Amino acid sequence: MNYLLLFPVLFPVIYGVVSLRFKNMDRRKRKLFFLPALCLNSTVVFVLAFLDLEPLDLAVFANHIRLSLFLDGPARLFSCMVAVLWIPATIYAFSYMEHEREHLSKDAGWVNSFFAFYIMTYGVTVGLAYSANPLTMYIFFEALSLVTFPLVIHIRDHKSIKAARKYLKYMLGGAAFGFISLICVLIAQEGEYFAFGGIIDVNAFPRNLLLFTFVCGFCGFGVKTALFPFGSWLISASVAVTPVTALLHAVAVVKGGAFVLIRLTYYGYGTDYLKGSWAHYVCLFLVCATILYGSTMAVRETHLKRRLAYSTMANLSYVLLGVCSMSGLGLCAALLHMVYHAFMKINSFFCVGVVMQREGRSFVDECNGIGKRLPWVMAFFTVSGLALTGIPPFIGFISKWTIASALVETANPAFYAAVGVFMYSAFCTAIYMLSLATRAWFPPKANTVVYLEARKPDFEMWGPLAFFTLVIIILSFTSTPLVNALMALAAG
Amino acid sequence: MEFIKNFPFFSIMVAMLGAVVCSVLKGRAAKYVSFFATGVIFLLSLSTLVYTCVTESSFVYWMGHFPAPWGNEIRAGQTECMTATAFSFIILLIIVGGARYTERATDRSKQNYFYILTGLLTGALLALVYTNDLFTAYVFIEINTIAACGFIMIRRTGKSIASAIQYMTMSLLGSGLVLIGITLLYTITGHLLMENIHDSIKALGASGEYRVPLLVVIGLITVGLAIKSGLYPFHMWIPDAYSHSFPTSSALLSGLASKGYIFLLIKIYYRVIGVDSILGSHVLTIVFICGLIAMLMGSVHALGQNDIRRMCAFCSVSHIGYIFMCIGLGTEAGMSAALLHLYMHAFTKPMLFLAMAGIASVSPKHELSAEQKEEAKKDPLSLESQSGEGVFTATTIELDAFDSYKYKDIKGAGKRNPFAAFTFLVGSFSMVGIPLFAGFSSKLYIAMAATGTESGIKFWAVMLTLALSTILMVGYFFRVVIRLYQDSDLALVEKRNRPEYIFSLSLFIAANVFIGLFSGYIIQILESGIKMFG
Repeated sequence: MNYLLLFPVLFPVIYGVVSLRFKNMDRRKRKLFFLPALCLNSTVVFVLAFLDLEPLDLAVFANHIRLSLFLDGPARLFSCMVAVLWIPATIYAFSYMEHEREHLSKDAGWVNSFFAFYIMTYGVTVGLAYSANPLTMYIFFEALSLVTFPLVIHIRDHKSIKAARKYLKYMLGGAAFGFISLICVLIAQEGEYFAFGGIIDVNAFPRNLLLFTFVCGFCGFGVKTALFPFGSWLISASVAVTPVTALLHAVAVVKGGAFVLIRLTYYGYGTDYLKGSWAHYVCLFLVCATILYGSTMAVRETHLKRRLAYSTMANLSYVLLGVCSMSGLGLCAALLHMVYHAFMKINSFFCVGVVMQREGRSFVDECNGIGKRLPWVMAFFTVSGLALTGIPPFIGFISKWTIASALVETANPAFYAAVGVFMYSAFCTAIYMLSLATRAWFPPKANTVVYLEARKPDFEMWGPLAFFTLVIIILSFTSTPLVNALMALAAG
Repeated sequence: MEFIKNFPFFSIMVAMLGAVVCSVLKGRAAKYVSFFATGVIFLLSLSTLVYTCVTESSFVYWMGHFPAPWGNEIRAGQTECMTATAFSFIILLIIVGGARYTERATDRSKQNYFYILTGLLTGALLALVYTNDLFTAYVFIEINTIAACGFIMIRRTGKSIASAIQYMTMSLLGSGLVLIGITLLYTITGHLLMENIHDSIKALGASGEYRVPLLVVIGLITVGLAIKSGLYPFHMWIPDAYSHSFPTSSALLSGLASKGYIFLLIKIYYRVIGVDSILGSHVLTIVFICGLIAMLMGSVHALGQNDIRRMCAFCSVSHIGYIFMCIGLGTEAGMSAALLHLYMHAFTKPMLFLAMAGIASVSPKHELSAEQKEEAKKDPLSLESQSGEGVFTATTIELDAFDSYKYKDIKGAGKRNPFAAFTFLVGSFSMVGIPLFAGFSSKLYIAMAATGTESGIKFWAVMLTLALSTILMVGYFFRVVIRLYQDSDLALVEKRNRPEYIFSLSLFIAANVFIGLFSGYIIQILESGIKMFG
């Protein structure tokens, strides 16, 4: 029975590899080919989330060196989040990529290979969620970098090649440093699977050495969450097509990094061992620096996608701030913001994608009065902007409140300072998100520039947007069950 | 079952006999004889490996049944048999997969020369692996050198001869040092068989005599073999030798020629001098440091290349550094990690060189101008202009003109020759250390071996250098991979790979994944083999 765990990991990967062979599918066939597979996979993920399965050992190489998958609380949460987001994101991508193909005059094979890698990424991300031990997690972490690489380089012009090379260097380089902490955890590992509270034998190595490896791992795996100063790949990678920047660089890849850090901190080294050590403060410092840098740069940046990328950088570090508070409430806050931010950010990215593709505007000052042209899209954007800023009663407020209370709960001056940074960042968020919304609805002066002949977004584009906005609003009013479930999880 | 004990001896003899037979045959017949001989050797080695693994024993074989000190001995344990099996398998795959390139690069009437050299190389490698006698080891070191030299020179262009001379010079320097080392050892102990020397050295260590001469011996042998296998400060011959010979010989040279010396070095450390005296002498620390520097410097040089063969050659420098660094750790775990990395490199580098040949065969052709051809004919280094075989010279130069390995020319080769490009991709993954490929498992065991060392400095040095060198390798390997899959303006020419090329490269890929997945078993065998060394 527990072999079912393999299905949502392997099925999309195999499906993607096979679909690379079909080069000449048109738009309709493509939909018929990919959508049922995606729905099937997401259904399996949901069903599995409600089952109670034994861990699955795929291969045992030596004592602790084994490949295993399992399902626990964070794995269920992360895999379900991915399963919910992937289908609408793919539907959006069908329309987006078709227009992009016309615009760049590429052939159908170009679009098909995009979806092949897109669906493969799904499998790898679920694999990362299901990983039961550090080695398996590392393997999926590397695989995630590699499988998303063709998506970043997909346009294949000079700019995207440059960005993709940077992407790969940062990703694999980060993993190379994460390798150091992987080795130490492997050697010092006591239990076979991740367990809340840590699995390492703390006496296997001298304390300072072990802490240093933790910092190496935090920075190395943190490259994926765009931790300062290793985050510039995220900004460069915004040259990729919007479905990639939205789903991968706001959700799957970067959240994968945050998920790995949650595993490493709470389920690997254990918070009791780390709390109050110098490594703890180093990580906190890096996280705060990222928040300051990301929020400030987002205000300065005028390119729409890059602005959102900086905002992602800051928001991921909110998640890490929750991780850094190293308490049960902190874990709950981190997971909560991980999920909520996914919905808010993917929605904003997709709205911006519509503006950029259908209206040909890519800078903030070009967006004056765009609310009249795309009323619904900008309404969706405004909702996610308000939520991201943390205006009550939207979901952003709930997760941010939890993070702040986790920080205050530690009763430590350094964490009070972190709360200050947090507040500053919320202020910046209000500026960079809402200034755009204001320009869209209340233009300072009439926009006389004539842009591309606008093509109205079709259902495939605004449907997913409406769905995300609906989810944001529903979650805003019914988040109690989720919060309670997470609190139960964080209690052990 | 006792009969199996003859197999190591047989396999050396089959290799040598194959070489002798090839010398009187024409090209095509020589090719099949060579394939057959190598296949037989592989089966013989494999059955010995199975025998030693099942009985968990090692045995000493007296050649001609003369006891020591008159007779010549062979020792076969799990480590030796595993290495012999891997080496013979790789040689088989290379000569089968590269057969087309051998045909193209050598004159038809002289194709058997290549297979003579292959036989010599196989015999020498097996003898280096199995020998229990230092003098035999020395003899086969020389045979190995001569065969390798022949591989570089067989192409007979000016550059290949120049690099062969460079190789010869460095290699002879190395063998000279080894010879002096062996001579000193003989004068101190009066023995040439490994076990006898080991006993006398133990006695000498207890009495405290000959401290300095022993240190000198260790130093000379280590430096000699390090030069021959291309450890960092002595790596100058590697890039020229690998990039100016034709694909099949580059594959043999990079994958195997230097690996026999490394195995011999480990064997000498364990079976002749003894780990304790080695550790006491601090030679290992120097080996360790040189290995670390090689890991980084090889990659740094590779970053600056614009030719994929030279890039891979410098990558070899870096991987030789990995192996020596592991030896320098001085623990049993370190030695088995070194051997695992040796296998991984021996399986991956030839695959890369053959894949690059496939990639280069679809790159745009650069014809030499008439003047350049004229100049090449007048090249004083070219043997042909002296012996007057003008036709052959022309074909060789034509080949030079055809296959371009430059970065600018391989753009888009992934579409023109998908199979070769895919193989290159797998090879790069393995080299960089992507999980589930051979390179990752060897890296994993290297790092785990590093945690077993006493000193924290060594641990951190290994960890940080591993991380840095991985980043550097990502830099240069993926630069090429991206280039391979870029769009290019060249017309798509349908490129059909020969079936034997596809067969051999597929087996290489399978072997890579096999090592990546089942390295645990290999390490188990290696560790129990190394325990029996002492």
